[in-house]
Amino acid sequence: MLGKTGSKSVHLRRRIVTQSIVVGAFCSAKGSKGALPGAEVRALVSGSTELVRPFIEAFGSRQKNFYYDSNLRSLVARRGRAIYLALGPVSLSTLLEADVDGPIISVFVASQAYKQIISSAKVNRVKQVTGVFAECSPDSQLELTYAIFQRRISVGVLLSSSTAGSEDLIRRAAQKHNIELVAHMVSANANPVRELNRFSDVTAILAVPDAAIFNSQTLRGLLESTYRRGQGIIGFSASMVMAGTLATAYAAVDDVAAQVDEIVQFISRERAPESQYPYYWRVEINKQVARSLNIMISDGVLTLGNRPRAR
Amino acid sequence: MRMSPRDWSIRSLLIALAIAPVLVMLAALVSAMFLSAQKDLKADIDEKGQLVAAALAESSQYGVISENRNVLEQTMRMLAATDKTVVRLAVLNIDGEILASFQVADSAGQKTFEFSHPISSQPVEANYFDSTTQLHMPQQSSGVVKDKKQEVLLGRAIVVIGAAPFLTAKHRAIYSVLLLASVAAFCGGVFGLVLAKRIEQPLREVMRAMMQIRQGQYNVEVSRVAGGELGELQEAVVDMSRALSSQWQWLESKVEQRTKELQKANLEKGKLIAHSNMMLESERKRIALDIHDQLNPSLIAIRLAASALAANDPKSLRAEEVKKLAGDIFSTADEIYANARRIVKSLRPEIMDTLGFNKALAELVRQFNVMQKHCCFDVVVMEGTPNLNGDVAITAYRVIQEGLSNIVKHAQATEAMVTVDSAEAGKVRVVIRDNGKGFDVNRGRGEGVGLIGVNERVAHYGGSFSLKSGPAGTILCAEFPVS
Repeated sequence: MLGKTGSKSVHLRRRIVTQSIVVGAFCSAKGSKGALPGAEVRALVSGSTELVRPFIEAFGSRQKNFYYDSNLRSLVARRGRAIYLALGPVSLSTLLEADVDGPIISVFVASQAYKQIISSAKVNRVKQVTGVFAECSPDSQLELTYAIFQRRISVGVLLSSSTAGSEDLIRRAAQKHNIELVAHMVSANANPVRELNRFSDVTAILAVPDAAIFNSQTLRGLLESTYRRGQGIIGFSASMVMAGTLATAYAAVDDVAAQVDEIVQFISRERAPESQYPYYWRVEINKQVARSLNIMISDGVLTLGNRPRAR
Repeated sequence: MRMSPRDWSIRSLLIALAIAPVLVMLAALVSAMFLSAQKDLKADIDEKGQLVAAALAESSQYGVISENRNVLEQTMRMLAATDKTVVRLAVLNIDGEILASFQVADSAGQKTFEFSHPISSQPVEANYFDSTTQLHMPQQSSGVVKDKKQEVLLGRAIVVIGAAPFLTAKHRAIYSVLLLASVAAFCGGVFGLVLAKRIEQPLREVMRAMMQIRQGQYNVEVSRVAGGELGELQEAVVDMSRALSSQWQWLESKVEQRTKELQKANLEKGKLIAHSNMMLESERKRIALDIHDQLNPSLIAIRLAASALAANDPKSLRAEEVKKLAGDIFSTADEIYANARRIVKSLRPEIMDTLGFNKALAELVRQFNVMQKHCCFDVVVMEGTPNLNGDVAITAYRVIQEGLSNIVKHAQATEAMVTVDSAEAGKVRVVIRDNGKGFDVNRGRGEGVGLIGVNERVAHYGGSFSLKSGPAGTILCAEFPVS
């Protein structure tokens, strides 16, 4: 619970000074019909506020008409039009179930979990939900992959039934970046580490968020197996890079805040834009792993990505 | 013939003393080593087995996860190459099936120990975006999960360790220590023998000296060949022999002196006996003369008177004649009685029986005062002095009588004092002192028999006798025990 310090009725809230004029002017300038000028952005926090504080501060610095709370009732009881921010899977599910009056923007939810939650929501409600996925797009990851190796390579990707739908997207991205993609479907009871034997000829492995393949129990084996073959794993989160994968493209908190701010500008009351991968991203490299795999990382790789405008 | 340790020679005892502790220490050391080695052997095997099993489990993790048997065999081969104690290695999956095994050596003929260690995967913490409750934040920290409960059991690593290499190593260590201990024991024995020899020589010297002393050769010489306590022992033996020699000489002289004294005493006793015999004969002679001179004439007179009466006709005798004869007989009988009493009195002081020792002594002193006008005799009986009775009283009386007679005969004294007291409980002391000219006690005692008789009389009743004499007079002292 956000800011609760002894009394259930007391919720610490942070009120950002409303600057509806700025938002309205931006919307008018873009000429977006049905936008929500002056709407208050209300964020529902679930779990520890400390985890999302960097985002709250980053987004608060961009969006002045911003309010966040861990209590749903307090959040919906506020007057005026609102755009809801769901911080995390639990907040998204809660807001969908509460049928709040206003569009919902999901943040810090990976594409697989997002699709799972949306699939169980009311159909009419779905139109008003959008989000920025937690992981970067396959396009960004493969762009990074090519930048690291600086040549056409083959990249393997393990997919399960829950991520099989992404194969086309990944394949298009591979084609775009001159990468040969070798995709393999992992059956439900199969050992992902053993399945890596199929990728004996690939140079790198692309990791996608898939609980059946990449989890705390399998990562050690996957890392050791790929290391023995001299293969690097391009991960999907900075924390995985710290755990031992070679590199990843990821959206930092500032990047996500900037993208959400832009969505807020264009979102309409009737229909929200499509959920999207982070538009802004940057690169995290595990230099020790790169050195162990005898991969030279150029300076250009470290500066790769798309940074938001400073405000 | 079997000899008990009690009969061993000094050399044998010293050699045993030098060797026995070394052998006992050696035996104790070897026993302790064997016991310790047995305990250490099990601990070493346990430690090694658990260590190798843990190492195999850790290094087999990937092979089990990936079911890569080549990797597992390679891992086991490398492990076996680094440790010669391993006999067999095996990796089992979670179902207990053997994924790979490696037989390193033939275990026949040696004892083996099997160890097992679980193979488990430690989860790696990172944000996998797979949680439905946690935020999917890309920069969330990662690290190894500490919670053991999250570890997943993958299989088991089996290690069979052979005891032979451990035994070989232990035997080598024991043999080395045994060799060192044997060398140490040998050195200790040699050192002990040298020391024993150094001890033996002085002891033999001492023994030789003691045997000489036993044979009566007291002037022994022992050359001091050892320092310290052994040297002191040698010196002590020499000192002792010298002391024995001087003691022996002193005893010899003492015996010689006592022999002379005894001879002298025997001579005195002979004189005394002769004197006593002479005195006895003299006394018999005096009594015979007394009877002959004093009793016989009176008895003859009485006989003649009685015969005259018997011979005459009683009718012819006149009354005056009969009265005269009866008067003669009566007076003669009185005379006989008086003479007989005097004779008896001279043989034994009658007054002693009637008046006791003190009164008899006073009468004796009075008689001497009557006989000797130029010397004044006096007697003092101290108050509280026990009264002497019986033979002791007679002896004391005779001692005093002899002493006073000697004063009269030899001292030329003008005063003499007899004192009877009880200076000590249970004893009566008689002291006779005079102011006479005195005499040489040694010479006087040697020549006279009176004092010898006094001495013998007193000694006979367990008393003591002493005599002091000088120009100022003589003091005779005799003590008698009283019951």
